[in-house]
Amino acid sequence: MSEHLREEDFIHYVDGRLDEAERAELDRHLAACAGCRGRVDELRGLMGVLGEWQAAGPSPRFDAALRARLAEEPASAPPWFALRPAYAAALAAAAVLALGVYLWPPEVAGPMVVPPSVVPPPPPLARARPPVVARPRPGQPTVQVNDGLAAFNNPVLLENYELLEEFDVLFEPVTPEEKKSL
Amino acid sequence: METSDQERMLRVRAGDREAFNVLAEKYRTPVVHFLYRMVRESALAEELAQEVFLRIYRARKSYRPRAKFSTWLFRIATNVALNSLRDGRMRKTLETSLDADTGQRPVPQRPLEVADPGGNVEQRMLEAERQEQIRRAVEALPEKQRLAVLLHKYQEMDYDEIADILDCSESALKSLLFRAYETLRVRLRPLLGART
Repeated sequence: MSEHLREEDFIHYVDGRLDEAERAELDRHLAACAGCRGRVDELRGLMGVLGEWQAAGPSPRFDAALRARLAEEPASAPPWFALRPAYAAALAAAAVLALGVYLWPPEVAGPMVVPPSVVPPPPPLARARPPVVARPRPGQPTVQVNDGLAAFNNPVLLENYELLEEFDVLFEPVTPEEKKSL
Repeated sequence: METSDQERMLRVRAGDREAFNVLAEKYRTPVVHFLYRMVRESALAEELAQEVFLRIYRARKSYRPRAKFSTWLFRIATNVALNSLRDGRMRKTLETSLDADTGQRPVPQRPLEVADPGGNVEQRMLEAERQEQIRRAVEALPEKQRLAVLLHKYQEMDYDEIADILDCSESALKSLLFRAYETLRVRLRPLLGART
């Protein structure tokens, strides 16, 4: 073998896992190549140094502790749902839901009628203003509005200029001259 | 004829707990050594090793002898070790490691199995210092390189087994090992020619 050793050849050679023929071939090259021989020597030295790192082994109580933990294990493997509590919970919830639907089927709902007291208050306008109260004509109901669209759809309000004046979209821009003409 | 580990594990699968005890006894030391070098704390390494054997036992019903038993065992040990490190349970220990760079050395909970416990105090201190330098150099390797070195150098596993555990090709493993040993050769150069 005349070529230099490849990267992995160094490790193979040093860890002694080559078969005889491969080793003999590398030996022939190493005998003639100081560069490769030097690298092999360095790697061999490194392996020796790494071998100095000792590790802690199991303590005398290891076996007893392992036996105790094994004794807590069931003799047979637990069912899948015991290993996957989330799946089991989801399955149980689905079963309860299906049973509920079967026993109490949902009624066909008609148009929803919401009593006025239940209607939530509308969101505040971007520019905070006090609620606008239409000045009623005799015999007309008082209407309190915070919502421009609702006000626009309300014929009582549409007749009330003071109320409409509150909605910028209908009157802007309003110059002093325009106001005078009105 | 000697019973192979695969055959023992098949017996475990059939309900033979004694076969499991034989496997645990055979592999407890290499597994604890491997985990100790991963997590660097003997009590935690021992706890994790028990977790590894418990996982093996729990998975006995689904065991299929596709690969060597030791490959399966060390793949589980690798996952357990990585999970432990990523869980942050080792955060405190790693902070100690940073302190070690500033001169404070962590104290192992149990005396290490040093080959030659003899010698005077100074020699033992030098020995401990060398071990600490080696440990730090290995620990500074990227995760996969470190695992490759631990399995190759300290567990003396074959390339195909290590590649299987690390889920890479053999050629990728050889490249990993070469880079790892090159890095270690540079980092540990002061120790190479200075054997005490």
